[in-house]
Amino acid sequence: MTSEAVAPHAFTAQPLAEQRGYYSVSQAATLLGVNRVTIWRWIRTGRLPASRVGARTTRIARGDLEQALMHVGLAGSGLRPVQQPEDRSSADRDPLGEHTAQFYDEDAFLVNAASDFIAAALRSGGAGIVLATEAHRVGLEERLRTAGLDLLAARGEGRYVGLDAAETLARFMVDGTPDPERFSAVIGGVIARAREGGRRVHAFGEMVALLAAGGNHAGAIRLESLWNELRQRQPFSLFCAYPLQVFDEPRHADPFDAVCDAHTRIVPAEGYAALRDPDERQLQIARLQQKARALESEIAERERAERALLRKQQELDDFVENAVVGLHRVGPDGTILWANRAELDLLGYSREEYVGRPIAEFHADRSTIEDILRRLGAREELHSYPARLRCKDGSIKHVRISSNVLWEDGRFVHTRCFTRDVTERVRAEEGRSLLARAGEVLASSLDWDTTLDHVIDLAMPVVADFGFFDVVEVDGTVRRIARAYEDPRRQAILDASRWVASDHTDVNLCALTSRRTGFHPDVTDAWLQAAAAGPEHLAVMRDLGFRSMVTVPLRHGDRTLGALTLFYADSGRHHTDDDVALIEDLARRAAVAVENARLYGEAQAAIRARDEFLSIASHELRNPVAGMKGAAQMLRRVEQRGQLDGPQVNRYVGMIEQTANRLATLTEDLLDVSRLQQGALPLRPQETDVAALIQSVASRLQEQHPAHRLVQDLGESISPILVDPDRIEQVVENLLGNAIKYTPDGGEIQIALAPEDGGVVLSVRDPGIGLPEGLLDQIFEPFGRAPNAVSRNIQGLGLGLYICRQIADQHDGRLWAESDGEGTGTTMRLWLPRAV
Amino acid sequence: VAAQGGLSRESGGGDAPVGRRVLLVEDEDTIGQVVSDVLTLEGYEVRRARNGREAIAVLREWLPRLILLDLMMPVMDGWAFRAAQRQLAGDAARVPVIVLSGAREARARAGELEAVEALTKPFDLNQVIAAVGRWIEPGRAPGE
Repeated sequence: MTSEAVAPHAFTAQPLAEQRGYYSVSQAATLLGVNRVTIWRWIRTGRLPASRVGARTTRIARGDLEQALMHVGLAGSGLRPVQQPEDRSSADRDPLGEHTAQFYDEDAFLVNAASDFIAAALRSGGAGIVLATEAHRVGLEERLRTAGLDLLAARGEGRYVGLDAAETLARFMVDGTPDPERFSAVIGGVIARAREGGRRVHAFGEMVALLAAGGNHAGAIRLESLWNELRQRQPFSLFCAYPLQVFDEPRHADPFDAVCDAHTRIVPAEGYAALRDPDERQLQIARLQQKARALESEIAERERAERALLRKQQELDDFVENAVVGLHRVGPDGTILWANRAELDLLGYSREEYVGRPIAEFHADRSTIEDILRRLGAREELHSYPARLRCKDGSIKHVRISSNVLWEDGRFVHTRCFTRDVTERVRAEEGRSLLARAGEVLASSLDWDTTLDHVIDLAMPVVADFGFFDVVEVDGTVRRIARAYEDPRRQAILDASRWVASDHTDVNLCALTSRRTGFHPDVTDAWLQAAAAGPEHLAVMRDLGFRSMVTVPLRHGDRTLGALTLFYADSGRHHTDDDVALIEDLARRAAVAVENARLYGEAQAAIRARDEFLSIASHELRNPVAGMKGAAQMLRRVEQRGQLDGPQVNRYVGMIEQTANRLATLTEDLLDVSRLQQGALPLRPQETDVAALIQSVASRLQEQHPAHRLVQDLGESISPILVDPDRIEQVVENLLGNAIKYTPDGGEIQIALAPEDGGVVLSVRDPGIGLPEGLLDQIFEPFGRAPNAVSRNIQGLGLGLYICRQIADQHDGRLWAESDGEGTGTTMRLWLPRAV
Repeated sequence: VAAQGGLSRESGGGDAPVGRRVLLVEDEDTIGQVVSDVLTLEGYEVRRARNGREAIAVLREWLPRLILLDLMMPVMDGWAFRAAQRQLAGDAARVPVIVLSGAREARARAGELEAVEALTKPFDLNQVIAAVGRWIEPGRAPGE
């Protein structure tokens, strides 16, 4: 090859380089029939000497280029310098032996170029082979016919072969790779037949392009090398067509280079190849260079932007995923599309358990989520909307939801919800409000049952699903007041349950027994079995189905008034230390209220007793007064009639006298009772010989009641004791008087005094009317009289024994009655300590 | 005695005339004796019971025109007596009652017991005579 072989116009754009005998890399590539990458590789590896001019220009000396040209030729690569195609349409340029790569954008351009190539062979008596797509082949043959070529004849002479590229390809492709032997057999055969008679052959192929278009660049390169090997054996010109779009991505740069490497001649696509004027071509190259550089920097810029965007996206994802606040997205159908770690942690679900489920499932209040979705659907934005969410363990979280919807072209894409946990704050508020309301409720009523009922009502559902009070009654029995929150079944179980004294020391089931707080936040069946007093108790506790319980005593001073026991069941909640503190506070307040109610009850009872006392007392006072008045009026009436005589006077005066005496005694007794009740009957204790005192009273009464026999057994050595002698004399007189009075038919009254329990005991036994069963205590009540005494018309007010017992109590002594029943007599016993 | 004469006149001899009979139910002895004495003096035939049970027993065999009833009594009080009285057969169930009771409650009790009148203790004997006279006029039938 000489420099003349190189189209002179190829250098006109770079006159300086030519003048100085230097060529650019592009020119070298064109001259040597290889691409620039190959030239650069050769320069880097020292196979092609080059020098640098300034920062940008690399030049190759003409001599070096010629050396390389020779070297290339000697290397037997089949490559040789290519003449710059100055006229694409010229049919007389002979491309025999050339392996051309034609790039194209438009099918029409390709069809033209390929048909020129085939037509050149046919016109010069050679053969044409077309391995193209159906569309290209039809277009190409049409054009050949239009150009006046008789394809039918040419086919008959074996000078024209038209094959479908895809079908042909399929005949030698094995596992995505062209098989050399099959290729040889299929294509080699076609070439050999075309070359018969020494015909020169032009082949137009698109099989490689099909592979490249399908992304099989390795297969395409391999097929190109098979074509080259075939051309070594059977020289022919090969025209490969590649649509540029096959290489329209940056990553296609290497396959593109490899394709170019495989060809002896590269023809750019029509944008360049169609230009005829060399200057225009140079300009176009310059433009392309500029465009390439611009694209490169644009790509670099874009890659940088993409990386930055990606980094930003990752940062945002990371931020959102690991945010402290719970976040989720809900689709238009209410399904959870995504949730972050914080939200899952808040509720205790795994991602699989949460994402993909309807959000409504996790709301404790259906109406709330319905309202939320309705508002969001109406393009409302929610700020701190209060809601209650159900956790995996069944407990409830109080949250504030802020949310809006991402809309795209009027389409509801998804919600964006922020979920803030405010459970602790809400619980604290609930606690405060509970105590405030408890204060009101407890102050509003002095009726125990109502009050305690209200307290349990208040506790639900803040710190309990159900619960009960066990209240100790005045008589020591325990009454249960139970409430279950909107749960009739459980209420029935509770109503049927009773407080049972537990001998458990390790499990504190009711503070009434233990008198201290019992806190069992994690109740399991095993625990129930251990805690149950028996199978029945276990069954009841299982039936109630509670998970957590707290029991606290209601105390006032040293007394335990009752216990408050609260449970969590269906809500799935478990009591916390804060709950226990709250419940203890509640119990303290309830205890005060219970105590107040108790005191009030006692006061009411005292008032009732006083009213009753006054009523009886007034009756007892009015009757004698009425009698006296009547007797006096009778005296006058009889006198006015002139009928008054001695016996009449005696009769009415006697009545008046007797009634006056009764009134005097009654007045005395009432005064005593009044003083006793006011605690205004002070004792004046002194050393008293009780035996002598009894003896004195007994002998006085014996004189008045000769029908009775008072028998004394006063012991021999009862030393004096410290008592109020006047009061004790009053008691003894009363007891002996009663014994006589209630033995109306006369008999023996036994009086005994003996030491007992560090004091002395006086027993007065009569054989009289006795006391009916169950009335041994009633006779000590004010106006308390035994019915058998009343029915026998034995006079009495029923104050004497009441006063006696009060006096005994004041002496720290005891007074009681014993009787085996009506008609069996009565024994009264008075025990007194040796000193008050 | 004029009153007793009148009494004998009405009775027409033999048994005491039903029209002058009074049953006094009173546990307080002095009152019982005094009221009994004054009514007898006024020509009424008086029988006394010390409580409701005794009074019912009397009513079963002796039909008075009027009952004077104390309320607070042992064994059977005034209320229980009225209930028992209404269960009696014949006219005994309809014998009118004058209540003898304490000042404040007398009138209210009279209403409760459907008594015709109430006398407040301590009363004047004149009041007793007047009240009884109002309800035992000659010719009045029991229960009117």
